Amino acid sequence: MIGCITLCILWMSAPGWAQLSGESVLKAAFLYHFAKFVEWPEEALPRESDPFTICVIGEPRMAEAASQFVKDKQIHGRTVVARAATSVTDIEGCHLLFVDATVRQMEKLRAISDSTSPVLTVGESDRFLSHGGMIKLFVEDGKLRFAISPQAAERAQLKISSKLLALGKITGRP
Amino acid sequence: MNRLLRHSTLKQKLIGITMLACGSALLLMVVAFLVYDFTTSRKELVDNLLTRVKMQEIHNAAPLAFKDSDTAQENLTALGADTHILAAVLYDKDGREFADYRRAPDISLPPHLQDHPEVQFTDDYLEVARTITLERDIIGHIVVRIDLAAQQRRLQWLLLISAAVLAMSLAVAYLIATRMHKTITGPVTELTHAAHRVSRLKDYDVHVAKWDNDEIGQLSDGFSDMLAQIRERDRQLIQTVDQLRHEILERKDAEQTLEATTRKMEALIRTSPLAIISLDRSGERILTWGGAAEQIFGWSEKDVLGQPLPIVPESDREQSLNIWRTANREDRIEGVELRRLRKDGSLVEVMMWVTALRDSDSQPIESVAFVADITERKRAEAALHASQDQIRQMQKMEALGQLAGGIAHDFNNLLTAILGNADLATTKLAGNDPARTNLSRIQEAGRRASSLVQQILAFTRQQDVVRTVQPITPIVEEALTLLRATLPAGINLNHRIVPDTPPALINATQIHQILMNLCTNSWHAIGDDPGEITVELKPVTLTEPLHSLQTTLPPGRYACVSVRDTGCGMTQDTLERIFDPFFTTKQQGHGTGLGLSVVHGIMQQHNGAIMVESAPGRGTTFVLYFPATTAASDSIGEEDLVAPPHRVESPGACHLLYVDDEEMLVELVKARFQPLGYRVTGSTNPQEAVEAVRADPDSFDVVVTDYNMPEMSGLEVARRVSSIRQTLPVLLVSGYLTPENHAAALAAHVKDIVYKPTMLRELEPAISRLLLESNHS
Repeated sequence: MIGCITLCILWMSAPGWAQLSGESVLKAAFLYHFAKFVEWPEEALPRESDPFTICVIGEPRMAEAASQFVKDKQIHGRTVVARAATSVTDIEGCHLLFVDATVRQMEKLRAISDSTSPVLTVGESDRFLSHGGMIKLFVEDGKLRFAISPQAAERAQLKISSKLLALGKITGRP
Repeated sequence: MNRLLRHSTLKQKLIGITMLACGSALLLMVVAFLVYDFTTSRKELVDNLLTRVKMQEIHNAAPLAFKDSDTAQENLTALGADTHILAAVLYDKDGREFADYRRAPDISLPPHLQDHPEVQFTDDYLEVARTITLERDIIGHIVVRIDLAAQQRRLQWLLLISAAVLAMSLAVAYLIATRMHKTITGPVTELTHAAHRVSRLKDYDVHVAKWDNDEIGQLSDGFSDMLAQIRERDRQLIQTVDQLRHEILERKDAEQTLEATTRKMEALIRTSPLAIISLDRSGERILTWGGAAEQIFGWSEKDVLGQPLPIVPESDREQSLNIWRTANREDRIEGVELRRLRKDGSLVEVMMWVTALRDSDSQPIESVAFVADITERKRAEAALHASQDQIRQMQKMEALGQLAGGIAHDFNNLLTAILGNADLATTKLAGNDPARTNLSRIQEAGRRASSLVQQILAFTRQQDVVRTVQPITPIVEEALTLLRATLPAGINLNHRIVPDTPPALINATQIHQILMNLCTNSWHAIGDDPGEITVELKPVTLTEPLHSLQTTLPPGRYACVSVRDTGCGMTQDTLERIFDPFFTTKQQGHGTGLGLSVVHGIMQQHNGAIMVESAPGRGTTFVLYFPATTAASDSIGEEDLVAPPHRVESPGACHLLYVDDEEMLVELVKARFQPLGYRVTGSTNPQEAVEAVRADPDSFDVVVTDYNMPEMSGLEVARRVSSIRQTLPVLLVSGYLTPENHAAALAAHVKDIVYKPTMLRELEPAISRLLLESNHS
């Protein structure tokens, strides 16, 4: 399997991607696919021409990897843009917010979570879900896995597909 | 198939067709069902599999997206619940095998998926391949293979069931067909039997039972109806044939009758002594030309058929047309006498009867004429007319002759007495006796009277004349010379004499007399005015009999003398009487009325004929025909009569018996012959005279008897004398004798006849001659 992924990475290798690690690309792919299994309310994406924006807080390489991954791709019929966000406050216009493991400012994350703005939040910290995050990435048996908090997504008026729910670990209220 | 059916029975055909129809229908149905089932089951299979594959797609989209091959593996393994699923393999978007389920590990699936058809059937399995997308991103592929064992089993089952159903159906159909075929074949068989009977036995009384009301029932009805019609037609046919036969016989009879009639008609037309000529309605074209038509007219049938009638002379055209028209109008024209043309241009006298033949509408279609050639009849009629006239004339002449003869007889007796006595008286008188003058006057007057009586006798042909064969020319010329001297200067006497005129048996004196008489008459007819008399002599050859008023001349050669004058001519009445004695047109005293009577008598003696043509103001022509003789031997040389008188050697020895009822003549004869030395016994009673001969027959040398005596005729005397002594010559004396009397006299052994009144002079030489003859014999 790893061999396959490696092959895939090799096959997909480009000058910009050379520095990017396989983990970053995998995470970018996960982010991209999460977006596909989640429905945003209409007011979050009022205009067709508005791009779907992924914001990445943390490692700049992650943002770069995500940006490269979504290049020429579409989510829900819209072009996809990925940028790095400096903090949780800098998420204006974001539809998906990725917070990597280097970020510790979980209080701010709570604020985002408490607000009802429809932003899918994906994080890597252990307590991401308890801080109001919606999907938490983690590695188990050498594989990248994720856990989902449907209540958090519900608060943010996001509908997570059952297929995604069937695949991820469900936490929170039963 | 058809050929097979052609030789089968109806039953076999029926069953065969039923089975074939059922079998085909069922087979078709089974095949359709199987095909339908096969295709639908396949489609179902595909749909079913596709549905499951699509479910897999949905279930495996997220595992593929998030690389969760364990979940994908679990999902695929769920497919294994269907034991027919042979394999299911999930590939990521790059074609790498992501997860799989294989019933047997050796099942290999195609590694390359780009061109893989979505649905692919092979003999053993069905393979469905799909690309899995998330939104529009290809995230992987899935291939599922399922085996077809179930479907094949199902198909086998179906085939088995179908075959069973088919077999059972066919069996049922066969049963039904074999049971039910009689409803169709029964009546048909019966019909067939009926048809056989009709065709083989000609039995049209066959009854065909009707089974049902279907087409065969209708066919039976039709067949029965047809048989009925055939029977009816047969009946009519027989009737018609009988009728036809009858008609044919009738027609044959009619034809035979017609043929016989036609033959009879043709024979009648062919043999008809009449010409049978028919013309078409317009009268312009000849349709029939038969009978004696060719004989009468000269044209043959082929000359004139279809042509206009050629026999009508130009002058008679209108009359001819009228005849045909009248015939068409009135049906019939009875015996019209016509003149018609012959082919040679001559005319023929015909009698014609015309009948119009009409068609059923009474329209004339043909006119038939029967034409008889009546030329012969006309000729015979003319001859009859002539002979009737001749008979009348002869009877008239006979009567007149008898009258005149009677008178002449008495006159002769009287004159004989007068002249005889005058002669005797003269001999008794002295030579210078003045009474001699008176006696010579008596003798002269007596002679003139005698001449007159001779003329009467000439007319009555009671004069025997001597005729010899001689040419007429010299006589005519002599007469002309005499006439020239006699006729007045005002009359021009012409003559035309053909030199080779044949000679004839004639008496020159009589011919002379004829010419003198005729020319004298012509002179009187011309009168005092200038005129012309033409005397002609020529030979004439008659080709046809010539009818004169007195006689009919047979065809032959004749010497013809004609006297033509330019005098006043005669009317028809006069013409009819000119030959009557004492008939004259001259003033009293100028003619005796005997001239032409004498001519007539002479011509009869010469066996000739006189023709007269005359009309008032047109002059008169007398034509005299004398039969020509060529040989001199034809001459009647009555040499006995003309022989010179013989002298009696010894008259004194001759005893003459003279018998005459006239005492005067007995005395005269005695006075005459006794002086000559004859012994004369006279008798006025013939009975006594005969008795005298009987008393002493040999004492008489000659008997002279008068012919006409009251007690006994001279002929009877001659006969009795002859019976007493045959060698005793008898001489007859008569005023006149008819030719019959003449013949009778010769039969009664009369040796000679002497005529009164010159008897006395002629008697002596006659007696001398007889005596000489009897002496010779």
